[in-house]
Amino acid sequence: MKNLFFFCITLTMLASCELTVEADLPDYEKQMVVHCYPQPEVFHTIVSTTVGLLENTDPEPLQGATVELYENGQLLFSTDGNANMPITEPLENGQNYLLQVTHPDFETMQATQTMPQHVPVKKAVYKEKGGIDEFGDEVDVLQISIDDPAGEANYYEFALMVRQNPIDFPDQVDFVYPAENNSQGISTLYSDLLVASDQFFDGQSYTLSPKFYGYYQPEQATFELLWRNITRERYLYLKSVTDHTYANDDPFAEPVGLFTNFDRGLGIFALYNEETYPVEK
Amino acid sequence: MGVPFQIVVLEVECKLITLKLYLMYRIALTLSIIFILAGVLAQVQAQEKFSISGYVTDAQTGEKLMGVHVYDLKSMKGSSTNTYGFFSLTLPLDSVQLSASYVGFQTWERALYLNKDMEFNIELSSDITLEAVEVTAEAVERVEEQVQMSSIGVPVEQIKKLPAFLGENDVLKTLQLLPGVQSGSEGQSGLYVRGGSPDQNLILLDGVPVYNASHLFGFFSVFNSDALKDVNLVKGGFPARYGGRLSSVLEINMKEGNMKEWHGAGSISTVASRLTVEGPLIKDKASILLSGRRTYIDLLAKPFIKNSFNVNGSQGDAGYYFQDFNAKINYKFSNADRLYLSAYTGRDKFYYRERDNDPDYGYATKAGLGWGNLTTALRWNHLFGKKLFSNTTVTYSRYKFDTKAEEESNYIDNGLPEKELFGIDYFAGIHDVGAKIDFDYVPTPDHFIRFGVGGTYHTFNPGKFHNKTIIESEQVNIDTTFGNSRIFSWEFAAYAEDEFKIGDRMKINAGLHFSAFNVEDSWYTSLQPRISARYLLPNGVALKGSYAQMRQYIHLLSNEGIGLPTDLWVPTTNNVKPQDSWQVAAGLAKTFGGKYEVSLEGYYKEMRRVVSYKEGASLLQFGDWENDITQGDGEAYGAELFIQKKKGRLTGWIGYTLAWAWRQFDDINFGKKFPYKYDRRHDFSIVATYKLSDRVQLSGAWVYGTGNAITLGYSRYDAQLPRPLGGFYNYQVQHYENRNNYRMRSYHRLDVNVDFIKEKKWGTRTWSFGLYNAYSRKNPFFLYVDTEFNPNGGDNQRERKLKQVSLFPVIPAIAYKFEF
Repeated sequence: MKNLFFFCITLTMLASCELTVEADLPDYEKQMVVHCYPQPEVFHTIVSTTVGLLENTDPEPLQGATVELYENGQLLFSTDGNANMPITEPLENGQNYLLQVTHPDFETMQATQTMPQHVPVKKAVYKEKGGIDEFGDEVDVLQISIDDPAGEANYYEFALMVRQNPIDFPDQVDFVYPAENNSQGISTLYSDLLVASDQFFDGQSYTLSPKFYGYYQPEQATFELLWRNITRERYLYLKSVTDHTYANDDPFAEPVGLFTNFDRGLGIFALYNEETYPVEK
Repeated sequence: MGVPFQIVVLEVECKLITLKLYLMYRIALTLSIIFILAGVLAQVQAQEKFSISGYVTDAQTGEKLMGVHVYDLKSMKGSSTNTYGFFSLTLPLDSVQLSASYVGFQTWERALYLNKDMEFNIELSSDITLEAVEVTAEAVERVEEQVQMSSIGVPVEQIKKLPAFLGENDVLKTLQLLPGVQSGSEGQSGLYVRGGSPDQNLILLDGVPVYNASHLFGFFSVFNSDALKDVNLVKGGFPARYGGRLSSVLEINMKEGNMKEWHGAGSISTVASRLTVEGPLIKDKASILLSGRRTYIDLLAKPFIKNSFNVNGSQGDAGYYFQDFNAKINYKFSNADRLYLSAYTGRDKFYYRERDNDPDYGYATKAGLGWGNLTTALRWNHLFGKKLFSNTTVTYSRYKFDTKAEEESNYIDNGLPEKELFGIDYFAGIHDVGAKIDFDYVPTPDHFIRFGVGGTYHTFNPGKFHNKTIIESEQVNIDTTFGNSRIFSWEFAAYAEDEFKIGDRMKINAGLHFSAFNVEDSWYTSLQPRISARYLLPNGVALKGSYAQMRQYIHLLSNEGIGLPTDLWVPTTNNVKPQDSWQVAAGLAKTFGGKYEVSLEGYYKEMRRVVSYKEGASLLQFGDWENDITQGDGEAYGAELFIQKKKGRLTGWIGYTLAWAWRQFDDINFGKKFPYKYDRRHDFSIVATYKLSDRVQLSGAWVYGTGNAITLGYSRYDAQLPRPLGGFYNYQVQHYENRNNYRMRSYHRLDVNVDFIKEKKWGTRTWSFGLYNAYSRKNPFFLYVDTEFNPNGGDNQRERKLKQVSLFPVIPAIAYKFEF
């Protein structure tokens, strides 16, 4: 009986190894993916397609697509699916725009945007060691004062630019690295950019206080604030891509779906306007 | 000037709190008065009546028997004993043929002339002519006679006879075999009741909340079946006495300890051993029960682990164990006063130690992970006359989780000894101090009134870090603590309910539950109506219906995958609101041939402000927990069929659930409704025990469930994230159509067990042999995408495949059990 007892213990430990088998995945429908971010002077768009989760190829740009931009129902211009062309007539604040993408193998995709109004920055001040992060360490803080318009949802995107030697190297621009877990209502993106919504300060004179990990020799540097008013769709998309990439690296993270504002297919058509402001130290 | 102002503010706050407490007191008082008046009115309307009251106990052990049907055979009026074995029966002046019956015991009968109030205790003797399995069955009150619906009592003796994972019988795993109750992932002991989440279950051990009922990441529950007396699960139609959670109340009571003589029981299985002893401290007056359990994989593996560390002069050790200890003392001062003191403590611990005493570069590494509960309850039963029974309880409950990692190195640098130390601790938990008083009032056989009040002081610790860093060469000495602050809150409850008859066919339980919660200077209050009704149709079928509103003030932040000890209990705050639900249920119940109980129920439940982590939020993040969560709505509906056979050589049940469970959060899945992770369309179980002979007993359980819903992208694409000054980063992302869009394979499993029982001079011994997952079904645990090399793949020699990981194939178990 004793031998049987130890045999069972051994068998139990051996049998508890993990087992792996292949699983099935349902068929899926290939979809067109459009990324279109008109910048103040450049119209950028790229059209591609999805590939199956288990396909051995990577997504490639799609040839043969036509992209059309309409302003208040009037066609502004038409281009192919992979454009990076200058904009001669700037897109105007408050105007409605429609992007339409057609391809013979896919259903036509449409998305609309209204160019947001610009909300100017009243004052931007950089405070060295002006705050603490979640670990109790000192971090730098940028105070951005604005008058948020009342009664509408506003979304902001910004980055803290720094020029270490503005006289000798005026084109050499770096960015100050923002803290990962930032202040309430402010999200740090993957690309040195931060986004914020006015859900906690709608209609108020408010000072945003994003945290930064600091910069080497800040007393010798010149800081500037890259300040954008963005649409809700751009805000949601940027946040969802960032959250998705963080979650992909973390087995304990909740899954994140990617935002799209196209009526069918995937991707984003998003507008913004921008200004650069000097930052006091 | 500041101080007087603060005093004024403090006075105002104190007055507000006093006012709120006063209002609560008034509501509780009013509710109680309404129900007591109803009872008194019923009494006044009647002719001259007298009461018979007392306790019903097991003649062999002195253990109180709950749910014993005590009734007058002449008038067919009766009552059932409460949790403490107390009964009270008020009848008109007349001769009475009193009877007490309980399955597995000889029926007790006595003729008496009732012309005054009487008080006596009833001792029921085991009926040795009955099959042993029948002793395990529930009270004689048939399912169609009970007004309570959506409730199942599982006898502990039956739990012990069923197949057990690794030889360890488990209360929670047995409950997962019942309709309306689902398990989470493979092997987990978490309960998902009628589309609710695990934090919506109130688990009470001797009336004290247990906050983490899992050992070893949920593969075992904390309840040692040898120390338990009864288990009762309520999943809907909640009577007013229950509150604080949305989805279920699981009441588990420990044995009181044998009042007559000393006995013991224990087992040695492949992973753990346990021992329970109980007996009289003073015969028929005071008894004690002590029970302990410990796993010993760490002890068995110690030589192998130590050898693996003994390399190049280093030494070390690593292991894991869990242990439980239960104790209970009860003392009978008189027939009117009894005192119970019970306690449970349990702990899981992982440990890792490594040391190298090299004089040039020595180091010591220590890491540990531990979690556990401590619960204590002091209860005082008191009788006020013949009709009013009170139970006063003072409780303490604590759950804490801690992890620690520390590395110290000592070395010689430029001829000088140097020391570096890096250490980080993380600790989180909750502890409660509570008090309550409950009354049972039985004015007439047609009314059973319960009322009571209680309060709990919660202290939440939602996670704190302690960092210690010493670098002697750089004169660094950091000793700092950071993280979430502790949160203190008060929770109060008051209730009143009456179970009463209208005619011979209609029985109703109606009541009100009031609750209040005070946190961060905010008050939340809730008044929750509850009603259950049973109508007996002429053909003996009971038609039942119920409605219940519930409120929950504390929430569990949990990864929805495996049950980790890092799960955090957090309170309602100014930003996080309480959860609410309402549930309606209707059903039919009937006993066929005195052997087969059949019940069919349908339910619909809506939940408001249920809590979930936001998209992308992770256990590994260190931010403010309030920023990581979101609140939304839930909806669950379905039907449950339960067929149970309680008597004969073959006993067991068949359970089937057809269910839907949904969630909707503004911040998740872009606001679109999605299926809950444990939305399980079909859930089927068949459980049986068969007594082949006095020496051999067989048991088996087969379960089938629709596969769990998970979020899986069917396709991927390149997403572009703009750089600040033009240009883009490309990220390849998976595209999910919806949250929980993919169903894993269905789950099914057969467990079997055979017990060989032999009577010895000193008692009974049982050899128990079992197989978990007898036909080795590869049930899904999680999925991942793997890339394999295929030499015949031409241009594409790498193949992407979706792989399913299963945890447990067939697992044998052997256990030696003994009773003396």
